Amino acid sequence: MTSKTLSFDAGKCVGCYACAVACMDQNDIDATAGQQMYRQVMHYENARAGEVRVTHVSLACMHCDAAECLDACPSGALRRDAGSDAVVVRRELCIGCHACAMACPFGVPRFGRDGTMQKCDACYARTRFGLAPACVDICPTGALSYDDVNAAMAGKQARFGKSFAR
Amino acid sequence: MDASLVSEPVVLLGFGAAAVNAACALRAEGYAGRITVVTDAGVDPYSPVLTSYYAGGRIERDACNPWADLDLAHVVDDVRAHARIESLDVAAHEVVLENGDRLRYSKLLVATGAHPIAPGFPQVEGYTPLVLRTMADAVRLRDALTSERCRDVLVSGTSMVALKVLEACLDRGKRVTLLGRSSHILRASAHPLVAQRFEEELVARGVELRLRQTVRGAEPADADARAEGGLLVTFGTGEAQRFDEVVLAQGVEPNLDFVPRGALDADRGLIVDRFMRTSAPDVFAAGDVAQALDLSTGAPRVIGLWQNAVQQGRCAGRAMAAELAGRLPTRPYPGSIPRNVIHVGDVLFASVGLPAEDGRRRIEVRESPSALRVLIYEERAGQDALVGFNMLVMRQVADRREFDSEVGARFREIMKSYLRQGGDGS
Ligand SMILES: Cc1cc2nc3c(=O)[nH]c(=O)nc-3n(C[C@H](O)[C@H](O)[C@H](O)COP(=O)(O)OP(=O)(O)OC[C@H]3O[C@@H](n4cnc5c(N)ncnc54)[C@H](O)[C@@H]3O)c2cc1C
Repeated sequence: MTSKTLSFDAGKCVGCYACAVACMDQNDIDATAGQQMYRQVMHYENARAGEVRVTHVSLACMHCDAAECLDACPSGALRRDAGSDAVVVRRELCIGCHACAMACPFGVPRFGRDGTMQKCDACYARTRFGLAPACVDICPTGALSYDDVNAAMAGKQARFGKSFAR
Repeated sequence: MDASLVSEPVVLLGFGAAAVNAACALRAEGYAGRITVVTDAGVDPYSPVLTSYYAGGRIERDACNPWADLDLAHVVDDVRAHARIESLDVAAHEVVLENGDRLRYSKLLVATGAHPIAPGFPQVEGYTPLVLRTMADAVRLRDALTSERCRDVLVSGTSMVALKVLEACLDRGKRVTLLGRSSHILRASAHPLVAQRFEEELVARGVELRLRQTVRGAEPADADARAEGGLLVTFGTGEAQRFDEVVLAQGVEPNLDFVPRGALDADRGLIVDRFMRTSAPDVFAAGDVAQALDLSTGAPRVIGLWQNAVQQGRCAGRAMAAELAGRLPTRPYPGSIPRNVIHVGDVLFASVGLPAEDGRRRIEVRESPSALRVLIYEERAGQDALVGFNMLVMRQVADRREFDSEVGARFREIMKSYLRQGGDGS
């Protein structure tokens, strides 16, 4: 089991799309040919006390521990990669039944023109050789990181602690 | 538990999603004793969901085993394949097989799934209609659909499985007639408005629909060439039509003929508690044989879905392991709601919850040229809560993208509506 995890810090994200582009490059995604993007960047405006704040969010598959999609898939197309713990799809086994789309709490599964499911595989082809996922590698602000689980938790705790300082 | 039973194996009846997941959960929870599986099929398990894809030629036999990657030989000690279960003696903690073998168990899981039923279809001497559940059924259907003499197929039934059969037939280039007693297809899961639109799409793809109709009689079309001539089917309307094959997909019943009457509390399936325990000590049930909590009604009901079989099997496996280790089981089965996605060619249909209208419900219809949505609301805990959802998408790629994110979101919203009510739909 891996001790590394992919984390996202919205406080650092500037919505530059570098992660989405790196992901397309890594996975040979041709959006113009109808292929689905694995990583989505979203922008939200929030007006508070006369000030408009924009939050940028970069999202892809969460690779959940108790992944509902794994339970829903009746064809064995979805499995957990033993080395990286990523939930990966073997498109040659996907029957396009959309059961994973119904099960996923985050709206991640998308289907290509060939009817099979496509999604982020946490770049397990890179991480198994010690490289960071492509989106993390390119992120210019450190909003996306690929860290030891305990280091990621320590970062999260520090951010939470900082939120008390007004 | 009687001390002499502790050394007996855990016996799993069936080798489908429920049993495989129970076996894996037993091991994950640290159970190191023997696990014996009994199945009337072969040693290689398969997913019934994949049978129509196999029959329709989209996948090969190898791909029908979704656990091909898993080393099941390391999980299960003994697979009694091609072994039919004759009877169950809960007092003696024994399963009797058709060949006379008796298997004692410490814990037993009944996970024998279901079989197709065919109420009302006339018997025809020398012809056995096709059905679709097991791998053997799928092989027969595939053989029939690849035969050159087969051109016209009657699919009797309008259930999810009937539509899957229909898709397999279309994939093989057959002319299909779909026959149903009810006014619309998918009576249990589609609102009539959505069903009607789905029917129009099927007709546009060359399917002949015979709804609100029954079969009055069936006979070999040609007495001289019975095998070649197909069947002449007479409908309730008096019309007669020739078919090369008939597939019955009118519904299923749990495989429980080996359970003596009164041995286990049963209704439409075996009644289980939240740890999948039946009314008899040490006997559990999961999957299509189990009547577990349906959150949409608050009552126990068989909801024959793959994911339910997986999760119920896992829950039973964990509970068996806990009890065998002298602990109380902890993670109960949370319950589920009916839901489904069906595709026929480029038409996609999803249903969640209860799409039926009644006096207490408010219905909202959202229609575009390429998609139709029906949302059904009910007042629950003082709020207007979504309790049913249908979506039908035709062709346009943009709407198909919306489909994928929307069905998941609606499923969760409806689950929340029912959970807010504490699983009590009354
Ligand atoms: C064509 C088709 C399409 C489907 N599509 C979907 C879908 O899209 N989505 C979805 O969620 N669900 C779908 N389902 C339903 C889904 O397949 C079931 O809910 C699920 O597989 C149930 O698993 P199970 O382990 O309870 O039963 P099964 O997988 O049926 O396993 C039962 C096991 O018991 C054995 N057995 C039965 N009787 C005996 C006996 N007397 N003696 C010995 N062994 C016995 C069988 O050999 C088998 O190993 C579909 C079903 C079919 C047939």
